[in-house]
Amino acid sequence: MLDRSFIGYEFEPSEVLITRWKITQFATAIRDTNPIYYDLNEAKAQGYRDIPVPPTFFTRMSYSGEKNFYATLGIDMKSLLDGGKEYRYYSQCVAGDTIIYQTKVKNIIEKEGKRGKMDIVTAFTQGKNKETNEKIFDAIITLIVFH
Amino acid sequence: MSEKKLNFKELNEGVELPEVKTNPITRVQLVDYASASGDYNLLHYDESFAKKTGLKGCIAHGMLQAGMVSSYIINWAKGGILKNFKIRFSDVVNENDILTFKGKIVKKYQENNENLIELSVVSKTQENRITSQSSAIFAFNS
Repeated sequence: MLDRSFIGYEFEPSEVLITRWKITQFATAIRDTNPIYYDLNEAKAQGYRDIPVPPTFFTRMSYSGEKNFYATLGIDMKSLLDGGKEYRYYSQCVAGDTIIYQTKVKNIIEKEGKRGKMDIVTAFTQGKNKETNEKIFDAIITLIVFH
Repeated sequence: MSEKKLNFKELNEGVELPEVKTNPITRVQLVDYASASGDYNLLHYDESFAKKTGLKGCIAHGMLQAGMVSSYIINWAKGGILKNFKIRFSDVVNENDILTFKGKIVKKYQENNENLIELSVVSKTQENRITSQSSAIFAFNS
């Protein structure tokens, strides 16, 4: 059972520069061949300032970036399942933007299911554009941690 | 893939999106996604580790599936701006599974002067196992 004192815990904010190469690598991994992720001219022709990020590109930021989210909360990877995610989008992020993001543990509750007792962890991450201060996204993640 | 923008007036509740079937999700793709996302959980590429946790073999990252579902809707919703995307995972995606995505417009409405549609998407394997259910909201200028 996870330590309840982590409810409300805020990780330090992190910042990251989004690069074209990273976006292209991500699009390749999800096997998305849309040229806007690979070709700057095509992205611009479709109205983007630069190569845009795919919607789930921010996944990595939901776990508080370089700080180890799982180690901090004491989550054993063997007992972990991904319950789901929600993203809200406010403005389009493109290559060249620097994002500042921060994760907060919203809640940890206990439930009982087919595989026995589990903790349901929800965490909330906000991302904004460092230069313009515009909101980019909110991400809400739900993790299932078996006891 | 048609480049023609969708027109809000022509989008109606109940309209189904064309189904899309993925290629088999190979070990190489799982490694690609581990590297692209930074999620190096061994479940996704170390078969002996995956078996120790009681699985049949390697499973796909939940968020790899989410990424593929989001590509499916983005490629359909030409001219739309994605406002919200939500996914709930209901079963594992095993290595070499082929997923079929099937979407539908479930709601058409206006809010804060925006033209909005809500989609629902179900993802199934070749064995008809439902692996996720998603919803998405798009805004259209016209």
